[in-house]
Amino acid sequence: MGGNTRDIDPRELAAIRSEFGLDQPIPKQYASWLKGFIGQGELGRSYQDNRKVMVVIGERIPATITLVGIALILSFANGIFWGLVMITVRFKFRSRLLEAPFVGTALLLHSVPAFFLGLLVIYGVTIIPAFHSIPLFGALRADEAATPANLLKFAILPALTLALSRSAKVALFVRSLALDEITRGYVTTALAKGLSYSQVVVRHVARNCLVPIVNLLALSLPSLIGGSVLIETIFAWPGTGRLAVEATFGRNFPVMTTLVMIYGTMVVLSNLVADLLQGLADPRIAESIANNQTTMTRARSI
Amino acid sequence: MGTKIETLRTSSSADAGAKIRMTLSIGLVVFLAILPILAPILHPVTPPLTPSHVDLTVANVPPFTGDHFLGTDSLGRDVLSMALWGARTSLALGLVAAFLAVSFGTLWGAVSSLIGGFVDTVMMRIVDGLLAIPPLILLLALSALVNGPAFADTLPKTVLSLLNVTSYSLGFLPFVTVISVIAATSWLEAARIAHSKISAIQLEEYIEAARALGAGTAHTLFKHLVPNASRIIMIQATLLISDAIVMEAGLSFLGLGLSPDTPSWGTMLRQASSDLFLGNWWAPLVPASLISLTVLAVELLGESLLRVIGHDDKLR
Repeated sequence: MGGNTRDIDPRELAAIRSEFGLDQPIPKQYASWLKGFIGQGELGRSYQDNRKVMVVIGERIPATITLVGIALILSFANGIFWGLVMITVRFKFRSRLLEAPFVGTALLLHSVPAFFLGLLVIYGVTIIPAFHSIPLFGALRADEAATPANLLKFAILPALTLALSRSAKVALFVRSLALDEITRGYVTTALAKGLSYSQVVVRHVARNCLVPIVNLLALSLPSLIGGSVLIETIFAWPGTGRLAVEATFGRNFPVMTTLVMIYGTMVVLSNLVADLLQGLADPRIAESIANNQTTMTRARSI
Repeated sequence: MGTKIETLRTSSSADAGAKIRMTLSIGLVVFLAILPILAPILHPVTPPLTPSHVDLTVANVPPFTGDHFLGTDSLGRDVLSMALWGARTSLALGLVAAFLAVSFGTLWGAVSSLIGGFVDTVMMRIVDGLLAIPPLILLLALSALVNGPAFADTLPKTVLSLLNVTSYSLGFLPFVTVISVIAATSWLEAARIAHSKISAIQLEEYIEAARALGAGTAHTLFKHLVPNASRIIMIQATLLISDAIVMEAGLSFLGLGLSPDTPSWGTMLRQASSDLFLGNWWAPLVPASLISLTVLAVELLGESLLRVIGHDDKLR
């Protein structure tokens, strides 16, 4: 806080500034940071407790990966299922009205702010006695064994909250993809061959929607990470999201810059994984890459 | 069964759905636009129905009782009044942030596309690099820079007096910093869209014709390129409005947003979220539903507008 700098001995302040290199011009600070990082893999020390930044962040990363990983799996499993249910109902009964409750719920969940959803989940658990054994806040205590069941017990509420709003988005996305797909000729053929509507949706329509869904999987990571910042704060989950908030309040810039860098790397890597998965989802893409076709010609050939 | 498939194929049912969504979204937008206008009419600036009038004797009053149509929060403030006056802050913030983000983003994308070559590559790679960072993290990183009194100390005196910053209050400073921080995070997508659209338009013959007739760069940019890209940019702008309102709510929830005495849906939600556990569900529900309605309205409107543009593009 600015107020504190006024009460401090100016000489002491200058000494601290020069110790952290804060008296240097910003380009110079950046150059020395870059030199430390590339030369020695050194990212500096946290202003708050003078520990190495990588240590501070390293102990938070497993919690975030657990949370975001579970949420990613849950949201896509639930979202794809939900989307396919909507499209089957629409397809089979030719009725907007029967589909409307599903679409309405998805739109609602998609537009409610995620942190408010988190509070509602906590409130719901507190008022329903059957759920009282689910822990509301935090993660494992030191005396508890780190069994998967124990870990899951703590992760369930934050992961569920994070997954809920995302799965609504996935469901709406799957639905709009499938809506285009069910007007195609192969769907008519499959129906004529005697397959049931749900069989057509699961075996044919869903497969043809796979490439964009894999793309959305990678695009989901930034928003899930962003969401995890708020969700981790609400559920006192000891992950990097909460660390980012703490670092913001403490103006702990070494931690903040490193976090930004790590998140950026994660997003870039997830995009790469999505590109590779696309080859699996649609062999034509892998083939065109193998044949050294450019993106433009690839798009035309598909 | 054949007929059934035929009806599915014809676009009439899809058109009906699109029409319903369009009407719904326009209705919601009109409703949301009326809220800030209603504020001074329904709830004038005199107590007890002002947004910041604290009265603990009427704390946690349920909706539809006495003077308080939507009840009160745990501090006895009128929820309806806070929601109406908060609509002014939230919507103004959303509009200004979206305007700034889209203007800057469009300019960045257009200039980058116009210059082309190496500069274009560098400018767009900067955008791509920043897009790799999750928006909320970027928001936090920027907030760390411009938050609180320490930042106010670095500003010149004239700016401080302009923003009404005193030793005991930050005045409009949080409003300005929140808007700038949100705009600074959300211009990236706008820049990318403007860049791709303007790059495509630049290849059109009428641009070549304009250049051949002696049109300068600025003339081509503002008379031909931006107007022709404006539709897709405007849709992006509407989407950014709801993004900005949600971001403000998130920032305020973390305590990095507007000061608690400024009524906005975000600050309301932050304070009322603890009321939820006192059994007061209406105080958090009102701002939460207003934020959700805004997101819903903007999402539906954007989708409908894109559909309209899609039609238009096919016609040409």
